[in-house]
Amino acid sequence: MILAWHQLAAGATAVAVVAWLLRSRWTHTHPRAALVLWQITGLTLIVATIGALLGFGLAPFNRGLLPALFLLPARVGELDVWHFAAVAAGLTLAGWLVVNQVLCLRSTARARARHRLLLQLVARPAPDALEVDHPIAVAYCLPGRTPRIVVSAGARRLLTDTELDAVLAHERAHARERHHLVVAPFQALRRLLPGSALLTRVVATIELLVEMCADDRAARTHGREPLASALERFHAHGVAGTPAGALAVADTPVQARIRRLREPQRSAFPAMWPAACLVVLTALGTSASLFAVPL
Amino acid sequence: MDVARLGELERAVMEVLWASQEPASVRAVHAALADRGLAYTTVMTVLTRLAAKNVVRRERAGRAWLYAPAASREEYVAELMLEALELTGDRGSALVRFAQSVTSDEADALRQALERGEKT
Repeated sequence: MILAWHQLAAGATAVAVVAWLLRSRWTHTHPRAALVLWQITGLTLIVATIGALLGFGLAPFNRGLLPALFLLPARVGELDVWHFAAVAAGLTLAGWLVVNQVLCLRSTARARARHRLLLQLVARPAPDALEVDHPIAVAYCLPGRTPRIVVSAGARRLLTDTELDAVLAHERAHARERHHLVVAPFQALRRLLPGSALLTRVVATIELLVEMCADDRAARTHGREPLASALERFHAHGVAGTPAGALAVADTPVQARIRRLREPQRSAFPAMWPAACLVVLTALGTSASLFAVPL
Repeated sequence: MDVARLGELERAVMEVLWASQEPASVRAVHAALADRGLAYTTVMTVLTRLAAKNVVRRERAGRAWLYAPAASREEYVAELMLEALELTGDRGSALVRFAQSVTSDEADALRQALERGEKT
């Protein structure tokens, strides 16, 4: 039983950190540090949840989780219905998460391969990016072993040369820092529970932090203002035709990005960050080691 | 043949097929690309690859295969743009975007472009 309590404590720690991260303002000033904390917290939460279910379910065996799992086939008859249900739930959850991640990776890879092929057929290679001949303004990065940076003719027309350079630097930052790998596990989780408002919010937060990382990187070489004005143009252009109801959101992610580029906050690095990292890593370590240690 | 050159050839072959009013034979595509000095077998390989990737349809006419684009250039552009604008319904994660700006009219136009292609 003691195993399950440890796991629950680790899980509760992770939940507390998630709540803190969702509420904090410093994350916009230090997006990279926030992303690191998000990643280890997410992992801790999942490991601890599975660990708690298995820890409770396998408690009658009085072993570590993995040794107890090995005993399971032979001694499953000794478990009462509650313990059995917990074990089944834990194993199902673990399997479900793994299968979902693999399926998402596969479908993303397929979508990217198709996109890459079509780009090859219809996009015009320019020195700085691939150009798709369409009046709508878009700029994006297709990740992969050789990432492709793509702009539409509309984006070229919408932006000045300096702005376009900054936007392309932003996209190259995505490619170089492999941001798609940061976002992918969270997006896969959301696909598992598409109705979850909390998960949707978490994914949106992660996506925004990743954009901010790329903004920072591009701003270092191209300055903050070109990027901010490029974002503003994209924003104004898109808003022009949207139906009235869609405008109700007061502070869109794009506005948050423009604001932090225009008025960079020199807020100090939060002292809580190293502490939170340490606590979560301890929780993760405890949680994971309980799988292996033969008690 | 290196990958970059192969990609460039695929593009050139598609241009020929899009320009042609009716399905074209390997010989016709080869003739249209005569100024590149390509081997007949190279053109055949590229067409076979494109057919395997489902961007080109092929049908038999007598003893020869005839090739036609599976969709128009505009439809492929529309498909790319819908995905780039995250309008495909599947909120996937294939791309990392800078910022999106699209009006609902523009989105409708893109969807119609694709639907038109599917009907024909």
